[in-house]
Formats: sequence, C-alpha cells, structure tokens
Amino acid sequence: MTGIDRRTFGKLLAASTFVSADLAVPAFAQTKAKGGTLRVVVTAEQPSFVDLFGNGAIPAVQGELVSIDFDMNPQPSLAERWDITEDGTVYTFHLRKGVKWHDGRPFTSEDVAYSFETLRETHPRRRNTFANLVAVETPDAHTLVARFSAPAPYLLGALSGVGTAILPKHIYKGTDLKTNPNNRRPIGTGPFLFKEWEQGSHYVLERNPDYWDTAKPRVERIIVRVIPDSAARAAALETGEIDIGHGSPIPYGDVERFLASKRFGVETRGYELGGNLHQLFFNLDNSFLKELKVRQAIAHALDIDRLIKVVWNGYAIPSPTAIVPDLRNFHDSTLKHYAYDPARATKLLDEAGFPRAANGKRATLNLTWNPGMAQQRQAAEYIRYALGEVGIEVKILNFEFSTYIQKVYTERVFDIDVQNLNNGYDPTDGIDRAYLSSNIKKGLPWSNHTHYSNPEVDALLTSAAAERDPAERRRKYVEFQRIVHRDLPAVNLVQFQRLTMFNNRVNDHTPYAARLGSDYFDRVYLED
Amino acid sequence: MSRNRRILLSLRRNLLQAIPTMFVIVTLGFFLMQLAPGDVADYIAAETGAASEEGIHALRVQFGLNLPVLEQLFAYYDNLAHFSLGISPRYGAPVSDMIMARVPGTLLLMGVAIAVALLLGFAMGTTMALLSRRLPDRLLSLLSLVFYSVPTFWIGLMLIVLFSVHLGLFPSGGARTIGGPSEGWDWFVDRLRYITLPALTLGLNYVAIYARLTRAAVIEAQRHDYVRTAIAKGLTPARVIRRHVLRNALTPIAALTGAKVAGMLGGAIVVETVFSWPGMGRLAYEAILAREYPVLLGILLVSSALVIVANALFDILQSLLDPRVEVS
Repeated sequence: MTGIDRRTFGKLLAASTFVSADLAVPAFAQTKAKGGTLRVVVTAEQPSFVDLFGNGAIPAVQGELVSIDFDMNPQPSLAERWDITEDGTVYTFHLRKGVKWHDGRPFTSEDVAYSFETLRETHPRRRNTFANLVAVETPDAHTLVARFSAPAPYLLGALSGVGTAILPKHIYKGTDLKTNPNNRRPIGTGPFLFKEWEQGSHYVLERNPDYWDTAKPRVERIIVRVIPDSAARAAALETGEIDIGHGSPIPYGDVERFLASKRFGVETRGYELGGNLHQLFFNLDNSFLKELKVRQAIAHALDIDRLIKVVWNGYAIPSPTAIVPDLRNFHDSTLKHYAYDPARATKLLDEAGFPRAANGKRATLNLTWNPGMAQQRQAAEYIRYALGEVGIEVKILNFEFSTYIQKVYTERVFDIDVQNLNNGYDPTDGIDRAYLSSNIKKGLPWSNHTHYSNPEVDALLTSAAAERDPAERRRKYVEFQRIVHRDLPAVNLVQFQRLTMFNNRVNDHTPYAARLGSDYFDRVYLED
Repeated sequence: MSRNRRILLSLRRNLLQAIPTMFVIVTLGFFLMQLAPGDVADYIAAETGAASEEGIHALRVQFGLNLPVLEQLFAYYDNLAHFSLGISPRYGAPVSDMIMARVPGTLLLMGVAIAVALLLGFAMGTTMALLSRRLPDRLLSLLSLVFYSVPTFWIGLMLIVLFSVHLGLFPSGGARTIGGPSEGWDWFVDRLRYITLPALTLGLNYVAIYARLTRAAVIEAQRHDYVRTAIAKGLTPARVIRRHVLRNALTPIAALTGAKVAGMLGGAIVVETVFSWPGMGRLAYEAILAREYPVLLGILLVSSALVIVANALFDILQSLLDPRVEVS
C-alpha cells in the first residue's frame, strides 16, 4: 500500500472543495429538488441527545444560537445579531422572531437564559465558559442580555450547536435533568424532528415543516445507523446501504481504494472546532525525562513526515506547536519541529549523561497510548522504533479505555503518553487543562498529567483567557507556544484530519460550518 | 413414571437450581467489575472530554460509587428484591427497558443460528456417516473443521464481502429495513434477508460439532439390531435412516445443544458487532467498557435466566425423545 503524501493530500483537499463548489451559486443550489432519505453512519451510540453533561448533542434537532464558519467566525442562526459593549463584558443577543419549538411552543429569550444558567451548573466545558456570567436578563421575548464579570472573548465560539445546547425551558424547568425523557427523545428548534430511537440500531430524523428557514431542509428523512465495526462500515458504504459517515468512518488505509472507485468522495473540512492534535506527553517526574536534553533528543529522533505517512496515510499536517494550524487566530506558524536528526539526538543523550550501556540501551521507558483512536497504536509502534534507533528502549503498555484512564491519570504508570488531547474551538477549551499547574490533579482525566509547572505559562494562560483585544490575546498565546516549545513537556506531532466519507449522490453535506462532523444537514441534498 | 410427572420433576429441579445460580452469577459479576480498573464516573468524565474533580465526585455520590463495596452490593440486592434492575448511569434510562429492547434480537439470532447449525450439522453428519471413510466424508470433515477453527468475525466479514459487497444478495448489517415493511409476507422476507448472514456466521461455528456428533451417532446406530431388523423388514434406506437411525442419534445432540446455549450467547457479541445487530451481547460489551455495572449485572441476570430456561426446555425435549432418560 502506498501512502498519500502531502501533495496528494493537497489535491484531495482541492477535489473535496470542488465537490461542494455549487456553494458559490446559491441560486442554483436553491432550485435543487427536495426529498429523499439520507442514510448516515456513526461509529458509536451517544448516550444522550441533549448536551447537558457533555455527553452528546444533536444540533440538527436542537438548533443553534450561532453557526461557526470555516474562518471560525460566528454567523447568525437563532441569534440574528448581537452587540458587545466596549469593555467586552455585556453581550446583547437579538433573537429570531417567530421560531417555534417542535411541540409548537414559541422559542423565546427565556429559553436561552435558562440554557446558559443550567449549562453553567451541569456542563463540564460550559462551566468554564459561563464561569464569569453574573446576570442574564430578558428585557423582552427576543432580547437577551448576558453580563459577565470579566471579558469573555471566547463566548461566541462556544455558542454553536455542538457547544451550547439551547434547552426548551418548559420541558426542563423543575425536572430531574439527568433522567428527563427529552434527553432521549429531544425536541428543539432545528431543521429536523427527532422521530424514533431504537437503541443499538438507529435513530430517525424527519424534516421539520415549520423550520424558520423555509427553503430548508432539503431532505425528507435522515436515518442514522450505529455500526461499531470499521470493516462493516466500509462494507455498508460500499454496498450503498449508507450514504455518508463522519469522523473517519473507515480505516485511513482504505480511503484510497474508495476514491479509486469514483463513487465516493472524501471531505476533510467540518472538524475545525475540534482543534485535532496528536502529541506525546512526557512524565516529567521521571528522572531520565526530567533532563531537557533528553526530551530534545527524543524530539530530534522523530521523523514527522514519516509519521504522517505510516500512521495517518497522509491525512495530517505537521503541528509543531501546542495550538494547531486550524486555530488560525492563535497558531504560531513560525515555530518548526525539532529537525529529524538521529545523530544530534544521540549526541544530546550522551551529553545529558546517558551513554549506551553494554547492551546498546540508555534507558527503558513505558509508553501508553489512548485507545480511543485506532491510529495511536500505530503511532506508539513508530515511536518505539524511532527511539530504539537512538538507544532508548520503549515498552508499549496496551490498555482498554477505562483501564487507560485509570493507569495514566491516577496511577501515572507512563513515561511517554501518546495522546490526542485536542485544542477544541479555543485554547481555553483544550490547552488550559493540560498546561496549567493548577490542573495537576490526580485521578482527573485529561488533566495536567505531565506535572508541567511554569508560573510564566500559568500567568499567560490565565490573562489570555480574559483578554479583550484580539491582537493582544494572540500575542499571549504565541508567547505561550514558544515557551512550551522550548520547555518540551510534550512533543506536538501533527494536526490530524478527521474524514467525512460520502457517496457522490450526497451534496452540500459540509456547507460552511464546522460542527465536528455532527452536521446540521439543513442544506444537504441527494442526487440520483 | 408418567411423562407429565417427569416433566414436572424436571421443571422443579431447574427452578430450584435457578435461584442460587443466578445469585452466584450476579455476585461474581459484581466483584469482577470491581476488580477492573476505573469506574463509570471516570468513564463519563473522560467521555465528556473535560471534567473537574468536583464533577467526578458528584457523579460518584450520585451513583453510590463512594459507598463501601459491600454496601453497593447490598444496595443492588435491595433493588433486585424490589424488582428493579436500576438506572443506567450513562443513559439515564431504566436498565430493564434497555435490556428488554435487546432480548428479542438476541433470542431471534440465537434461535435461527441453532436451527441453521442443527440442519447443516444433520445433513453433513448423515452424509459423512453414510459415505464414511470415502472422499465426501473426508472433504466435509475438513470443511466443518475449517468452520470450527476460523474466528467468527472473520467468517462474518468474508460472508459480507462475498454476499453483500460482490453479489449484493444480502444487506451487510442491521436487523431490518428501517422504515420498511412492518407486516405480512414482505416483512418476513425483509427480516429473513437481514438475519441470514448473521445467523449463518453464528451457526457455522457449531455445524462442526453437530456434524461430528451426528456422524458418530449414525455410525453407532447402524450397528444395532433394530436397524438390521428394519432393513430386513424391507424398509427403504431413507426410512431406516429417518425413523430408526437419526431418531436415536438425536438424544446426545439435544443434550449438547442445551449445553451450548450459554456459549452461543458469548459468540453473539462478536456477530452482533460485525453485523451491527442490536442485541444484548453488544450492550454487555459496551457496559463492560464503560464500567456500568448495573447494566452488566442486569444482562448477566437476564442471560442466566435465558440459559436456565433453555436448559429446562432441552431437558424436557430429551425426556420426550428418549423415555429412558431419567429425571433425578
């Protein structure tokens, strides 16, 4: 099997852009026939459809306050427009009029206020987003005023459908949020009605005839099937039983074969809000890894281009820094990977006082990898090979997910942890948890498990979170990236590309918004 | 002893054994889950991608995971005594609802798979016995051995590649056409198309066992006097085989089928995953991964009940087939 190099990847990107090229001619797109059933595949079942606790959203049913475009800018949806005061602490949202919940009740500012206040208590990420929210006012049914005690520059990015669920207050008020039946059979204001859920098999969405944008949605029905096995997903796509799958539904190694048949396309956009980052973390309490020169040596021993080929089949771009290229407002593109140079790595290790022993080894390290993503295992094997070349023996510890969490975050059995701790839509979302010294917390998943502690970084991250001026905010995050690039508590490897595989009869499935693959489906249409 | 009395005795014995068996299974299952690293609070916290210490603690308190282990176990027994299987921590739904939605799927899959295995096994075994030590015997023997030794998931995938991807005869997964026919002949055909490959995959593994057993039983039965008498009476060979040979060969097969039900339930997990068949096996697998012990224990309870019922049925069947089988 030949890997796809980065140039081919570029072509694929261009090709996938071409597929949705009729975006540029919306008038033409509007005339496309309505109807048909779109069949979607997902890899795992979500335990809930209302994102109260960070355990599963369904924007296509829920609706969203704002949409985020490919440039990461908020666009109107349920909120038609918004004003932000000069000091960045008061947000006034002007909501769309005449919008109805799927049960016919009117959607009002009360619902939005209730959502903000509820998610502040229940949602693991929105707890941070709304931490400084001091008051929510509803001067009238279509105006919402949110007052913060400090500027909240990250707010709008969090208000898309995958970030903030807009809850029907009349359904949730005064009930037990965890067991409310609406979590399993939701109503929303979105383009699709939730019809049925047969657990372990599928759920069905149907076109909302009263959707506020009368030109949408364009398909009549969506069937979402759960197929846990990747080979079975590939077969279902191939037989035409499935039209589209998000989040890399088939193994990366199969993509080329699918594209060769001309019946399928691949789309790499739509995952920008994830800030997908593949990195390896060091356990800084390890006496060997404590030495900066050792960590530099390890960085020099890794060939990123090779990693992109063997692990990601070309579907990744280098991300030498902790903030990925997709987060373009913050990513520092001047930083480069430590050059692949085994000789230099060897020299650094010698200098650090770890010469090869008689058996050719300098040290033995335990490597853990996150089993949540299949590629991590291949990455672990590549790293074992690459470090072996410079005399570091790597023992790979294989754990299933729950055991992995326990072993890595409670028992800390790792020396090197191969990970995909993603950035999220904003550095506050994914970076703080891994680098703030205040987040060194035993037993807490995705916390600062390297035990990296740098007061300068703490100060930068804390002040950047509340920085009102975009340029100044960027400056602070760039500064942060440079410091961790120097200190190397982690080697950042690549921004990997999640893939959407689709049958060519499906059009406009990734129109503009970045929704982590759980698409809104309002524009998608089928061609036979 | 009358036939009915024998059946009643058999039922009573099975019932008396059922309760302690299920108690032991649930208790063992509970402790096994305790041995596995991590708990459902860890899993939920990791699944959400961000969590706080307070959040995890709150989850533990909510699910009673902060209590001493024995107290948790007694709380579970207490629930059971009130005929409740508890609430799934991840799904926030009653465990009994979640399991009951999956039981029919698994039962159907197993039932059809057993039928497939028995039919194929009989046919192959009889052919092998009648042509014993000749080429067809050797070939069929080899074939059944292949089915027996090749991993189930591989057979499943190969059947998908051949019958779904290349020939387009059967769907590659699922249990029915979603939004398809809901009654009548069309419904039946639709369900049949979906169950063929999974049931064949699950059944093929057992074909070898039944084929070997049938072959031995038929060869054995052929030596008996009553078979010689039947032939001497001038009965056609087909009738001799059907009435006199196979019928006597059925007894050991019925006994074995009963014993294999539990193993089949295990094999169903793999088949359900490969064919995205909504059954209990996958639910159990996911419950183990997420450390959801109320769900897993519920499944253990229901599946042990199923196995016990199946065994009782096969006991009865056996005593009907062969009046000499005594119920102790």
